[in-house]
Amino acid sequence: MRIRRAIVLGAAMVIVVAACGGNGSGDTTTTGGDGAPQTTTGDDGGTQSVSGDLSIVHTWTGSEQEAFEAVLAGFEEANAEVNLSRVEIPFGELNAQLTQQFAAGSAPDVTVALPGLIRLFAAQGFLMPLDGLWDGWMADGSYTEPLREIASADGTPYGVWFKGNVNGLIWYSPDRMDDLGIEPPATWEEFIAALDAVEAEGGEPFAVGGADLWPLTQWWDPILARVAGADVFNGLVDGSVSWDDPAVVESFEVFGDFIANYFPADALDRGFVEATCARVDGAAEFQNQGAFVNLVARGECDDSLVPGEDFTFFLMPKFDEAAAEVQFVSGDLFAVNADTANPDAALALVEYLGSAEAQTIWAERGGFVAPNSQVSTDVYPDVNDQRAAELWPADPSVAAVYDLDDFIGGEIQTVLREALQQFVRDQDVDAIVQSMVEVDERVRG
Amino acid sequence: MERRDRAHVLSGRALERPDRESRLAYAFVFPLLLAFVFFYLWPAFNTLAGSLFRWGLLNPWSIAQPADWDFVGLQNYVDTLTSARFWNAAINTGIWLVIFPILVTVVSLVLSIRIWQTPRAGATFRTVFILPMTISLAAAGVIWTFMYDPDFGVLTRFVEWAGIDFAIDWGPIRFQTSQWLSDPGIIDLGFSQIRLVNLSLIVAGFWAFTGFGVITYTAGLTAVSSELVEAAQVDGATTRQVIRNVLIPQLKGPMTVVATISVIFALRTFDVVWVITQGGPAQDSEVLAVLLWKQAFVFLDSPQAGLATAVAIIMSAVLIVGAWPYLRGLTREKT
Amino acid sequence: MRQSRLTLTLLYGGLTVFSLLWLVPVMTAFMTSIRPLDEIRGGWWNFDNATFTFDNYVRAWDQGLASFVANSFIITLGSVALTVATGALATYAFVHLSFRFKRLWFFLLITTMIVPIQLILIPLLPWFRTLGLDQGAWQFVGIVLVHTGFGAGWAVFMLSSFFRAVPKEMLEAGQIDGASHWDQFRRLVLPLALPGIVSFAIIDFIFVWNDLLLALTLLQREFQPIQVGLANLQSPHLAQQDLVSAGAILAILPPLVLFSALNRYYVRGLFAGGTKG
Repeated sequence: MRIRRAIVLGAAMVIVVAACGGNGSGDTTTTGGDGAPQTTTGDDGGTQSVSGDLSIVHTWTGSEQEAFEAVLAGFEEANAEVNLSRVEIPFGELNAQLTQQFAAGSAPDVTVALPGLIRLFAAQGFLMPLDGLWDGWMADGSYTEPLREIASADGTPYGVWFKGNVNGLIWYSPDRMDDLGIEPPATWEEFIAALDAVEAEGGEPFAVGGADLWPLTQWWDPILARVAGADVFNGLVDGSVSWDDPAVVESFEVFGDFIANYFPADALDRGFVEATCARVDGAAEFQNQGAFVNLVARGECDDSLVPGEDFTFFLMPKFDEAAAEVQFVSGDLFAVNADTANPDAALALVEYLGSAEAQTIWAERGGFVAPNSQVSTDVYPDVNDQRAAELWPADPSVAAVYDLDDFIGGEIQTVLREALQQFVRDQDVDAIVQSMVEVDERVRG
Repeated sequence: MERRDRAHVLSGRALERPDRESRLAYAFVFPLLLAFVFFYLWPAFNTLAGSLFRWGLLNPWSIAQPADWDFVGLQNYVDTLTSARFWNAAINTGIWLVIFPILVTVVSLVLSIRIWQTPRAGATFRTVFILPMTISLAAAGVIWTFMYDPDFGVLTRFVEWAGIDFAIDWGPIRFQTSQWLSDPGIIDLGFSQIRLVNLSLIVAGFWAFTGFGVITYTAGLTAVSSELVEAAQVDGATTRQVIRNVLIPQLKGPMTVVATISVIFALRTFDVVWVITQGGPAQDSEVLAVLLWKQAFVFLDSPQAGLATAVAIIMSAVLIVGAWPYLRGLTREKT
Repeated sequence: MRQSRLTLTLLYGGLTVFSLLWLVPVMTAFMTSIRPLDEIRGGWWNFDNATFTFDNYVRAWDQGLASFVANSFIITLGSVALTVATGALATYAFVHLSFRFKRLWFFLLITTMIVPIQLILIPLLPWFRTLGLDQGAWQFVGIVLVHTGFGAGWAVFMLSSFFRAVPKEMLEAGQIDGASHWDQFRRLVLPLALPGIVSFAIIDFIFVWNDLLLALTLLQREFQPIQVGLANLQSPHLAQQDLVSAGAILAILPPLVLFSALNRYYVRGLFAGGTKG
């Protein structure tokens, strides 16, 4: 299987290279809806070509890196005089490395960054405000206000959305659900009933990748969003809501029930990939994870899986039917170095990355949800990606909340992750609330 | 040697010589001392000074910028010594400090003696046990992560195959032969808990470091005169008696060295823990060096580098105070 | 020493078994590195339908391990060269000359063997920035200097044992003949203490090659050595045991080769460090 994958990858690379050499840009501009003019800062219609040296930092490896390279190729074609160098930094080192580089004055012109980092660096004056770009995007409806909020610090946007992801998706295998006689649940009661049914059959309801820390946060965040709502969620981020708020406590209690009743005993032993494969292999029925499972399940576990048929998902239902619709998202943004030596090119690059044109390039390859609502859902290669894209909060009335711990960052993020691990072990609501209240006070004062 | 330095009682010509020699000597030591002063003493001083201020790496404390100083005196030390997280790390480090040296000292002693008893294959055996010392602790950590893997780790499979997978839940002790890296067990002491995941990490460190003990003991054993051993045997001593009464007393010196260096290793340990668990799950295996790292480089939302430097000073102080006699002895002996 | 055949058999047997067990971790990494990942899932000791491949090494190499290895060599060789050169000079003075504050310097130097590197770690970043050592390839210079500064104590400590082994009479004879200290150092002490210096160089090589913390803290991505690359391959986002194990084996090779080829020197060096007097 490894050899086959190598061949597939190799073939893919050849195709990419060929496509780039050929009519690459021709392909990418035929997305529906891309007739919308790209508003640049001050220019009217049409993007001007930029030049000079430019550096960009990202965290993607393997097939994701190839996809990103294809996206960058689009920019390089339109701006042939730009010398764009890219550096890949492992995700886990991003914070430390960027901190060093910014403090040393050798930071890249453009860098991938999560909202927490954006807030942190913006507060230090390291990043360039991007009001101009965002005004244009808001005007033509590419992005909504909640998304702009997420990319902002103190009301000013510093980040550009590039790669989106929707979370709170419960993955399952339709065949096995049929065998168990369960329908994809649409309400919370049906959801619980389905889980109970699995248990009654002696099955394991969930595969959880707790060893990798972040899957646990992506477990609790949608529960928090569903139980407490978007306002409380965002309140935790900006500090206006305290961690012992009753809605927050209730969300912990609900999560605690889930753990007690439906979590496997080895939730903390397996990493995310192992958990995904465990579910695919039938060791568990469900997995609460983001849209990227679509790629991982095929890439790492079983590449014969057919999306939609062999595996698909349903959205975690609303806890309270009367509550407003909330969508829990995550994803990668890009920010610009305030001290960049080439501001024109840097701005052009992030504008490109935030555009439907750039995002379509990756969207067509799968494993990607385009945050720009101008990207038509037709471009996605399979039904799983399409459905995920449809869940993207393109409608301004849908509250979007961003992965909580990545949004807060710093010590609170670390303590939250550790506390969640501990919580999985003992489901002690008082203890976790206490830890979070303490660290919140210590950090925010 | 001491008295010669106090040359002021000597005559003129003799006075000249030590000064000239002193200057010449400084020419020899100058390059090394340059690196030493600039890249050890000065940063060490900065760590000490920086621990009296509140600052973070996004806005580093600098001795040259008094305007940015946020002086807090000993507050960092107070905060550290009253922080639950610090004491958790201290306890985890304490587990290392107790178990690791004992394991290394005793096992390498036994191995060395047994190898000594098998002179023909001695070199081969020794090489095997010393081998892991050439491996970086990061690589050793990676290797042991494989060993402990819950799905295809050697240890997990071995336990299954040998049928020794079990769990105890016996009063304050809870232990199971699985989940090595997440929750192999706890010993509850009431005022705190000892998390056995630390043992999993200690085993990895022990595997990597025992070679040092083997080398040291072997060096000591070569100094044991064979006549003494022969004489003892002629007197009718059994092997065991020879070992106990002839070898071991002669190995007191090496034993001290191995124990001391092991203790130092245990206190400083970072690589093994970082690569395998990063201090997790939760804070179960977080030792002082890992906590320090997180405070300085991860918790960037609040300025905690001051706290981190306080931890570094506390660690160093403990080590220097503990090793003071050793240091003094060495200085006296070698100069 | 005479021992009964039974004892000997038990001993050889026991040690052999224990040695094999001791090697299991390395075998695990090696096996994982030369077989495709999905085969390993069942456990590397299953050899039915086993396929062996160097594919993992190739992939790990392409994923950047190549530059890591290059960086490792630059940093390690640089540090060893500087440490040995400055260390040998300094040790000569410590052993054969007297000078003001000698005791004090020696004491300060050997504290480096005891204190944790964390003592100097945190201020190093701002300090490098002040010195301009955080820009581009200057980072190599910086980390080499730190390794030398922090390794100074070990250098003097270990080398002094070897330097002391040169008989004093020879030195005194040289002095009577009017040789300067510099001549004596170059022509007499260095050649005689050379095996010891080589021992120390090997130990230092292995130590610097294996360093994780300094490199992790001080170096930016393009200049990082293989140990950091290894620690990063352990990404929580992908299960890459095949790549990680290939990386680990690659990371182990140079010290291992050095150790096997120059075993005698390595062990002798540690002897000198480990025994008192």
